[in-house]
Amino acid sequence: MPTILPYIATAASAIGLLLVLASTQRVFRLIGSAVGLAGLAWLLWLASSLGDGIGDVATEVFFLVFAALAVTSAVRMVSGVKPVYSALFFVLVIMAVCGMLVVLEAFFIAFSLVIVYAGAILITYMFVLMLAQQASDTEHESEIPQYDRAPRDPVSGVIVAAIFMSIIVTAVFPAISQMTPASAADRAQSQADLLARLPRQWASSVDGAPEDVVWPKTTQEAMGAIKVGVDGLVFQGVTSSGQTFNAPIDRLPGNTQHVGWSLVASFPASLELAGVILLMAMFGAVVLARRQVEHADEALAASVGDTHAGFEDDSPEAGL
Amino acid sequence: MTVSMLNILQSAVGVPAVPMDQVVVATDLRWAGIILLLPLLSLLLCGLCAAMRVKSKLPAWCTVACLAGSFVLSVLLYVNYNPPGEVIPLLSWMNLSWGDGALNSFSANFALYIDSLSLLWIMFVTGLGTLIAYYASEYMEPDLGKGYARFFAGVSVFLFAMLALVLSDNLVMLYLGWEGVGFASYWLIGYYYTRPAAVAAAKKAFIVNRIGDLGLALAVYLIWTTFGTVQYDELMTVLESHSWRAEFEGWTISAIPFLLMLAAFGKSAQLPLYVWLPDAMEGPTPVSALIHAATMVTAGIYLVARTYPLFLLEPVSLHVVAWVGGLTALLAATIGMAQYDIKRIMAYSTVSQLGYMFLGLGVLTTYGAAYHVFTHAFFKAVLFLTCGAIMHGFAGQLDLRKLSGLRHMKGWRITSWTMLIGCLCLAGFPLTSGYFSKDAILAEAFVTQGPGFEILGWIAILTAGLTAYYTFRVWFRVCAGPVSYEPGDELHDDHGDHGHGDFHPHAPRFAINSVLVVIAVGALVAATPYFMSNKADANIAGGWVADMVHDSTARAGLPGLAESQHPHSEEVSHGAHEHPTLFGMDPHKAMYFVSGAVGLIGILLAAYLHLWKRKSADALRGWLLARGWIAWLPRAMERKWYVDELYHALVRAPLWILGHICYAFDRFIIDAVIVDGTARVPRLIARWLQPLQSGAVQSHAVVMIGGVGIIVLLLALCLRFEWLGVVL
Amino acid sequence: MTMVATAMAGGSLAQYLIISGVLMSIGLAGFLTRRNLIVMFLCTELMFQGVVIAMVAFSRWHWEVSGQVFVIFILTVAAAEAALALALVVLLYRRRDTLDAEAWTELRE
Repeated sequence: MPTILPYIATAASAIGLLLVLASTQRVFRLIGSAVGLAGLAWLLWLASSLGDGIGDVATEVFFLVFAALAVTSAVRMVSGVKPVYSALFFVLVIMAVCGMLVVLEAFFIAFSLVIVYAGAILITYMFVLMLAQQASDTEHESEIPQYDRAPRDPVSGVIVAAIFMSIIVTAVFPAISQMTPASAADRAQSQADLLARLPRQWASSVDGAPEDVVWPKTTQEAMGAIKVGVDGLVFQGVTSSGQTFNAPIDRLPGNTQHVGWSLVASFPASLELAGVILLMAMFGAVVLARRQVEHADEALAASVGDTHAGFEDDSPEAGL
Repeated sequence: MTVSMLNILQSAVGVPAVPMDQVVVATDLRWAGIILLLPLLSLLLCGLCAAMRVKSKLPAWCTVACLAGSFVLSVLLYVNYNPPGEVIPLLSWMNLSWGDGALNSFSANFALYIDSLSLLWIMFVTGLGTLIAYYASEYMEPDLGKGYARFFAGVSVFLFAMLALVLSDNLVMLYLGWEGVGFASYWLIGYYYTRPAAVAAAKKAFIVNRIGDLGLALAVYLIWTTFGTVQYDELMTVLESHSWRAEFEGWTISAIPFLLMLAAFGKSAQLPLYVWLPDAMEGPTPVSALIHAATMVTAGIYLVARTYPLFLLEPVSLHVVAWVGGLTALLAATIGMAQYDIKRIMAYSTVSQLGYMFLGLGVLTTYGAAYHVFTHAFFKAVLFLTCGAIMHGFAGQLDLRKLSGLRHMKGWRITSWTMLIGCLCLAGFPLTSGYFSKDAILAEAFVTQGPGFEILGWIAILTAGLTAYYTFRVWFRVCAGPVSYEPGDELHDDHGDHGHGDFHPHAPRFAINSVLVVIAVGALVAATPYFMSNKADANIAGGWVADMVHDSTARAGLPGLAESQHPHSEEVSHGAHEHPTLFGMDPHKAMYFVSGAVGLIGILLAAYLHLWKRKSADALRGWLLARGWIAWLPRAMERKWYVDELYHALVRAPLWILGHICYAFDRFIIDAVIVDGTARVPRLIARWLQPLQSGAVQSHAVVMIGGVGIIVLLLALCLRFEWLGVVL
Repeated sequence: MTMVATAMAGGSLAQYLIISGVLMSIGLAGFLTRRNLIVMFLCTELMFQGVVIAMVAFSRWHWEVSGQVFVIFILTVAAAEAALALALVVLLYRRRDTLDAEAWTELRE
């Protein structure tokens, strides 16, 4: 595969994005979308030919659907003229990304993304949009402020983005072929390690254990008790009578448990810091939002004052 | 008819001119250095006087005393010196050595080279310098307390430089003196620095002299590379032993005399570099008399005489010297005939007489040239000083049409008669000093074989007649005839209150008169050395003056030398076997009659046109101007043969154009493109980059992220594709 | 859950990384070209999504759950950033009555 091809594909995508961003004519936007999507498809095809494991057809189809949805929504989001629509398209991006995360079996993250982003952050954005946006009839193009209608200097922006994408292409394409994915044994070992740290989960994980099984008390014991078998993990347990037995572990801890354990066990300090950051952000937001700001621009302030004065004059109270 | 010049040259080179191994280092004569130091002392005293704002004539007395001291010491030196020459070391200056061999060392010291030639020069330089300084003490009176000290400081500087030039033991010190006299000349010509004409004349003199100085510098350099030394005694030893022949290329031998000639023509105002001398008359008259008539302008003659053996190596160079001298003499004389400014006439006369001297050098009569230098120094000094007296007395009046009958005026008799003596000498009136010295040159032009030397001889005789005519034109106009005068335009305060009509010329007083008398007597007495027997060699004509040259490097130009050295080798002899004749007589004897007659004709013509029938001169001029075919002649003579115009067209205009081209190059290429252009590049880049500094957050973000992105991308590409030798 | 080693479900790691980079780049382009302050910050959130995909894809590839844990921190920072940034946007809006990013050019001097 010529090494230049991914860059050409990147450039094509960039040109498509530029057309969509900069053009106001529908035809060009369509052409841009076609070119951009074609470039993206080419890039994905080139990436797929690198030879690392491709899942089954179903998940591949899901991935492609979500990818197309995410990219299309993202482009609509940055090229749209109405901020509210941009926010809504961002929700769509979140959804598509979450779909991809689900395909990647990162369920907890997928759902927390939906909750936090689509649920919380986007709502905040919508509130601010509604606070800041002039109450205008956005149905008419002319009512939209100038700064929303035309992008500023799309060429340089897209070029910078293309440079950024080229860096990623340069890094991804040679690196992937030199990397080896985690094997099934690695995965099983990872599961075993997690299980060994979660003694309360034994009972629900192991089917077919005798009644008088002595569950391992410590992680050390648990590590010794779990073996990686041909078909999966096997529990080499001991009963209270001293008999040993082998039982398959068929209900492994889920993704949420995995993430939760890792969060608490591996990154406790970071977790605390994250909490502090959120607290500080909350305080900061409150402090900032409460501050009374005067118009720095005197002329603007004067004009605003005049309009207020005019309103007061028109009001019946002024007449009294 | 005559012996071929080549033979003479061969004999001259073959014959050891001066037995240089006899030149001794005379440390016991070190006091001769005081001759050089006294003018420096005088300069110091004049400087002090100027600093202390002395209003009296103190600077003049200091200068006169110091110069008189120099003169006395010079005479003492002449008495004490032993032939054939002595080197008196004074100060070590340059003694460089970077290896063995001829070209690996360079030595030039402050040392005096004493031989008859330098002694002749220093005696008349210091003697005339003393007298003229005394004269100037009265002449410069109007400037008392203003430029008085500055004037005498300049004279002191000139004397010091001139003595260094003449006494130097090597060409580098000579060059130092050469530049020094040029500088002093510039200083004194531009003495009246408020007058634009004086400033322009000073610049002209300086610039024209630079051309000659370039020749001298190159010549000194070539002499060093060719002969390995710049010291006269060593140079002459090398020349005698012919040791240079094997070591150096021949072309330098030919180039050196021409470069020296260029230097001499510049300093001594010969074609084509004579143009500065007439303009130099803008300086005070004592300066004109001392520097631009008697001493400095003879430095060129001295240079050629001093390096005469080098000229003998290249015969063509002497032919050129003779022809340039002869043509200059004729040209300057014709110009002098048509001028009205008496000082300017004298200036052209000086150029003309210097031409005679070069003619003498060229036709192998160094003693004639030296003798003419000697006599000319006296009679031209007299002429200039009388002109100065007239100018001083008549408020700057120099136009011979506006002065008349001075000899009948009270107080002007001494001036008139001394001027007459000077005129007689210059005109070559029989039995005057100029008569003998000029004859020595004229006769030799007929004797010596050379390309067209006979024509040159007739040209010189014609010039002698013209000289007599224009000299007496001045005298008959100014000193003879009815008394009438108009004042000049330089009315000083001391006689300026009463108006134009009440003008009373103030006659010269004791200082001027005494100096005039002394120098005039000197001019008459200058004829006697011709008859005094010489000590060295009875066969050599020219008497004492020949003796003066006899010991020096210019010895080869002495007539009669060859047979005295080689009495038996007749084929190289100069004249004993087959002496050339003129009108069936010995040329020297014939010339006594020819030049005497020519001089008398010139004087009589001048007497007719300017004394007896003064109107006829104007009538003649009108008649000439009316005839179309001849009208160009008086016009061209009055306009100095359009030489200045020629220079303007050939030198000044091209230089002006070149200057403007350079200016344009400087202005539009260097200034505009390179300097301003360089300055404009950052501005253009800034204008191009200016939009980036919009203050808008996003444009800053574009630049920042784009810059970082490009760097990272390049780095990643380098790593990926192993560009520039970067391997992951 | 089968124990058969599936290196990657649904597409290769490279494809995920490409999509992550594309989302990041689109977000960057939007951030650099959109003039509405709120949309600009929305674009930064889009860039976060690109990072999230890359993180989770690598987590899946190495079967190392730390990548997903990091996404939680990213979420945290994004939320904090959103809160503060929007508070600032509100402040700026009150000052100039506009959401145009070009209205603030004090960086020029």
